[in-house]
Amino acid sequence: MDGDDTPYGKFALGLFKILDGPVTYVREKLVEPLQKNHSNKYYHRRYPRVKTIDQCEVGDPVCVYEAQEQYRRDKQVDSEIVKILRQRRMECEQWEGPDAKYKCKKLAEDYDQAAVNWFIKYGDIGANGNVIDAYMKQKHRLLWHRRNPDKTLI
Amino acid sequence: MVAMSLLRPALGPGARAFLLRAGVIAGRNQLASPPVSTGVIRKMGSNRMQVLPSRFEWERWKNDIHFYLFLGFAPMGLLIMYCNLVTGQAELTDVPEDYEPMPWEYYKGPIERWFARYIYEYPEKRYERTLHVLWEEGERVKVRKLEKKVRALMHDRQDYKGWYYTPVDKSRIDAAHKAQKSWQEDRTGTRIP
Repeated sequence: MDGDDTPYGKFALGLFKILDGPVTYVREKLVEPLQKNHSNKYYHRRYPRVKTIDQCEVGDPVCVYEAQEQYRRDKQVDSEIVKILRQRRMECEQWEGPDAKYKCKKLAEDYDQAAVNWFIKYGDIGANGNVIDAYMKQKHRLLWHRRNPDKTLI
Repeated sequence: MVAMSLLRPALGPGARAFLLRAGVIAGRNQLASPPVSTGVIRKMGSNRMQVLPSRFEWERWKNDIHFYLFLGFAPMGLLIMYCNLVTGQAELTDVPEDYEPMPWEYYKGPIERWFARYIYEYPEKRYERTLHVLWEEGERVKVRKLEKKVRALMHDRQDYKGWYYTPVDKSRIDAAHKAQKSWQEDRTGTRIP
């Protein structure tokens, strides 16, 4: 670290080492030699893409179930993406303070766009909303656009 | 977390029992029984009972501590420490080409991996079984719909022998009919045309 050679730095490091020393000793001398022989690996799950609901035949329960599971996973991913963008915007506004209006503008726009898109796809279909509800919502939205070509939704 | 909530009901009466016990021990040196009244106290016999507060709560609390610590916390703690120190956590790596990881190789902790391998059902197996059950029910739905449609058409057009018609030998039915008719005639004394 930066100030470790100053007297105060050495003192602070010494205080830290009171707690860290025994822990590091146990870790490096006792635990790691024991664990050298077994080294297990773990992986992240990969889900291959399957047919979406618009490609499924009517009355094909297997296809609908797989589409539903894929929709659930996609919804989780999209929700996490929106959360990350929201966090970034909040942190930027907190950090910049009064300058946030022009310094965090891009982040604010990105988050707004992402939130609106999330709502278009997943919003307003309830807690039990499944993939067929989302599909029908899209169908009605496209119908509305077809019938009202001059109006915008937002 | 569960162990803590199990212990909490033991702590209150335990503390009370502790303080009670301390008071009893403090006062034990002075008198065999504390002076509770200045009236006449009958003292009979050579083996007199020591009138003391109940030791039940204290003994019960010690019992509970022994039970939860030495049978619960200590063995499980030692087992968990052994697993984590000797086997250790798994490292996250990319999936190699054309290798399908085993179902337990998606978890990090050694005990989690053991449970996933030997105790719990593999999620892939459950998924495939769900797909199969849904497919089978879907086939049943199709067959039922088809049957209903065929029956409705046969009812409308009245031009086809039902597929449920199984030809049987007529003699048994005729004999049964004749027997029933004669029995009724005997009973009522009339002749049924």
